[in-house]
Amino acid sequence: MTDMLNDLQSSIRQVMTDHANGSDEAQCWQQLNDLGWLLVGVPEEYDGLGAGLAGMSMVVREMAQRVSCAPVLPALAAVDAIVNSSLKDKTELLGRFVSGELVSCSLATSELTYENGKISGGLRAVQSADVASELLVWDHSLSLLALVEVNCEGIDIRSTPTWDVTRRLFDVEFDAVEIDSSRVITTSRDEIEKLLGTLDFLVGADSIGTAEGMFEMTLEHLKVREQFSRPLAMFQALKHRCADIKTQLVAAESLLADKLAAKNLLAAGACVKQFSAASASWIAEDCLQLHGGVGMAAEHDCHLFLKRASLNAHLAHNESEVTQILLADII
Amino acid sequence: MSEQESELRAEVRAWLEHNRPAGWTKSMTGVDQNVFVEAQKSWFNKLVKAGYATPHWPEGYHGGGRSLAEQKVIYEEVARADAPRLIMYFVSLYHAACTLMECGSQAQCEKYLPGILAGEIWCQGFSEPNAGSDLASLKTRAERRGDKYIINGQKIWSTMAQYADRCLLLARSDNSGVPQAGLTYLLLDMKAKGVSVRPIHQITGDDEFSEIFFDDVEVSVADRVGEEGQGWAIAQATLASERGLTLVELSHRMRHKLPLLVETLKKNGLTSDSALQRDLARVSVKVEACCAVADQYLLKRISQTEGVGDASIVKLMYARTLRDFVSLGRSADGLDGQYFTDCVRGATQETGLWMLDFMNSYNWSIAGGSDEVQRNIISERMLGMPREPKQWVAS
Repeated sequence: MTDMLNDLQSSIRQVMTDHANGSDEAQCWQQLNDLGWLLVGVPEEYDGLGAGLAGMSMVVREMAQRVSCAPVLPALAAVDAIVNSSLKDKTELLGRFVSGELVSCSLATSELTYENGKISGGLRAVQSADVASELLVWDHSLSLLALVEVNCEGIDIRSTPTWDVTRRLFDVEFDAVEIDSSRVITTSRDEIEKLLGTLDFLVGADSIGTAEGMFEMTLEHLKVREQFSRPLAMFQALKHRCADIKTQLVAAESLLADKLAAKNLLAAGACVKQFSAASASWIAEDCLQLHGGVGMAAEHDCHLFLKRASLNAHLAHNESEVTQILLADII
Repeated sequence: MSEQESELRAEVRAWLEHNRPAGWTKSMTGVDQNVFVEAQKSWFNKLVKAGYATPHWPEGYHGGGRSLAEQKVIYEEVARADAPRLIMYFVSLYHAACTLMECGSQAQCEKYLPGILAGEIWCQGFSEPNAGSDLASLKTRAERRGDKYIINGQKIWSTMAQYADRCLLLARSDNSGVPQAGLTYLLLDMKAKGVSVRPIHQITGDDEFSEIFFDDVEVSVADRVGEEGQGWAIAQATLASERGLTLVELSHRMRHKLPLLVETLKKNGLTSDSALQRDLARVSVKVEACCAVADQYLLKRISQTEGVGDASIVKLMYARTLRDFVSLGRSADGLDGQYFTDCVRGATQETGLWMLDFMNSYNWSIAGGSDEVQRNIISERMLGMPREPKQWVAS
């Protein structure tokens, strides 16, 4: 990482130590906007930090370590899509969406159809849709990527609570919603696939952060909790499990770092998402077990991480889609 | 199988068909705990009346005198019928009753057994916040004053303690000597002055476990089981009382619920996904093996050839198999499976609401002796591998 990114990372850590795990969404959102964290991937010519996917991944990962409720992941991906667009009012849009106004997007497969300039159908897993002013949408056949105002006629938003309480997801239904031609970002499948690759990357980064946060808590627990007159951390069988978890985490973060430079962003993202989400799922499962009974109590933070890691495994490209993407080059 | 067992099986099956609370999984979803308590009471009364709640009690008691093989038949049929488990009465019917009959006095049996049959609820006061896997290190004090013990301390993970009338309490009466030697076993009235209970909110939304606090609670010496200092041995008798039947029942429940996994695959249009087909086949075979382990263990108990560590293998095998079973469901159900669902009161781990089932599966890998404790028992007592050194020095 560059010095600039290292500095930003330290500053995020500093700020996030004051936040409880899964703390208030609105407050955290405001603060990260005020501090300019959403500018991390924006090029310098638009007054951003120009740190691209590496920077966005870092921010998402750091926030996930505290299971932050702020919709930073879809916001960063959508802002990045705007950066890559040739929209006329790009500068103005970027200005709005890095300073408090939210542009969100679906974290699942699109079920939208695009016909005669109108979109119909449903989107699932749109994070914090109720507080977003615009949505970045794409259709199922990847022929359109556009911005849509949330309060448009024909848009219906329905809250869909998940076991993961650190993110608020919504179903959004579109009933022949007209697409403003000045809001079309691209009609190129390749361009849309880049966005999907970015989403996979960021869900991977979120998974790594979630697993790291839970692992840190687990190590602390094992060092403090005593049974049989010694800290649990002295039992070799438990130490070995921690060593396995650490190894897996290093592998996941290495893979992410390695794939940042990949040419095919779709394949790279699928690779990162698959490995990170599967690792995080397994790590979270074992970390809860390592906590023993207290891990099953809602007043402990363990379950916030377990449920977030579990949801991540089903966000962005799902397992069958990831399989298809990964095997396309091999078989 | 003997003719007698076949007859019993047919009889129990017919009875369950008529008496099993139909659709209980649905009616126990998202309801207040009190609704569940009432449903448990009604199911308990039916089972007691039919004699199926106490097959393990000795001859002469209502419903009693059944062989272990016959008890197994009853449990298998309950699992097959997907009838509710008697979660709220498990401690009274097994732990309390068996401890009283095995280690209690005649007077204690006469005083408490009728109450158990009449539906008194008992809870277990063994684990403490700092004494889980290392149970012998428990610190709740039982201080002798005249003909009373004065109890001070805290217990945790006590199932349904908020509804309990009485508690099987393991407390420390002596601090000298090895930890196990200073424990005394008492029968405590949960309505006594100084007892307070706080339910633990679980990650599933349920609250079937509680913490119990004791503040100068008086227990008569007449309510001590065995002698002062014999508590550890009596607690072992308590824990051995269900004799492997629970895991036979639960393993068979899981086997009967394998079609739930198929339903989940169907619902998500994944029945022709060959990777998931292979996973399903693997889980099915593992579930069969798990049932076989539980069945073979029970045969050992019947023929009295049980060896040290055998019970741990059954528990570990069940916990690991269950995790594979629920994990496959969770994985196959995709994003749908991640949406919040109300908890199902009294559910085992096979509701088909896979996140709920996944979280409930920790009840078996953590509670009742964690996987780690079972592995210690298997490696040290069964395989004879040396224990970790008793002493250690902080570096």
